[in-house]
Amino acid sequence: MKRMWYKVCTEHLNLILFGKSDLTMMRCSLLLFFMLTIASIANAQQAKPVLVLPADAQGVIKYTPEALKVINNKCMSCHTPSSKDEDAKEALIWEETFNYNKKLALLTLDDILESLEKGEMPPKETVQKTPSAALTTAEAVTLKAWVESSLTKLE
Amino acid sequence: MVAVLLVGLQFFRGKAPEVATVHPPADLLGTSQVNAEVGMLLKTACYDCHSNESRYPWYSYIMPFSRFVYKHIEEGRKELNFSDWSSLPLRTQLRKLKDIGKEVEKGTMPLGSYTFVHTDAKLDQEQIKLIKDWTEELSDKLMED
Repeated sequence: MKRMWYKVCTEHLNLILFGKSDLTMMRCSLLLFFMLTIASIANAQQAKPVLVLPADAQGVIKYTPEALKVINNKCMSCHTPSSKDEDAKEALIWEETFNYNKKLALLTLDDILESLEKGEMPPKETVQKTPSAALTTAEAVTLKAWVESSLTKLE
Repeated sequence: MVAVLLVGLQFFRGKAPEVATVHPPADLLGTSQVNAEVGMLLKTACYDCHSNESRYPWYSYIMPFSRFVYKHIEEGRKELNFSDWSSLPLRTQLRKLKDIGKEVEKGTMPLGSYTFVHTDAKLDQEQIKLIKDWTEELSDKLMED
């Protein structure tokens, strides 16, 4: 990426400094410049993984769009395979829950429910650093309702 | 000078978490969910912190040791209390069994600071396996019922 940047920049300089006024060449390099900029920005931003229910999910937990929305907003920075937070991954990886049997579903939902009831998630340190990472009241209510209804269906 | 400090500290001992005078009715050991062997292991290695039947040795009444002891018991009971076992919903029992298996296998439980003093609470590999197997067997059994 950086080498290509360098190449495009030097080509531009050549054109400007040495007056090589090949318009097609100029347009091509401008287009390349534009594309590279977009690519670099996309690359630099660590995109948060998006939880999407796979078509062939074998698990017993049923996800509502509302629950998925909250999970994607507030949980996917840590509870996903690409996260660097090992403790979070040990506790829960959302993608794994798609194939949970009844036993795993029950104990996981119980864990999530306790975390929500005690206000333990997202962790205090995370919220202190990034206040917008906290669950809003509406989100907490939605998620808790989904967990409780999922448990009722399983129990 | 140090003696004065130590005596002074005793006034800040705090309150010892209460101990059950009657055997708790919801206690795990009162159920048929654990055999005598595993029950004995749990009683020796876990019950001081993870039940209402904590035993307080003489030094646990003396500061600064009492601080550690009381804190361990408070937090231990909060995390897992075998005295309340039967009152827990199935999903919580399943979760606790999984956690118990994980913690003893990792060696994070019982606490090193506890087994340093209570050497009989130290779990060897065979005992860890016994407990781990028990957690898995019981959780499977609970799912069947």
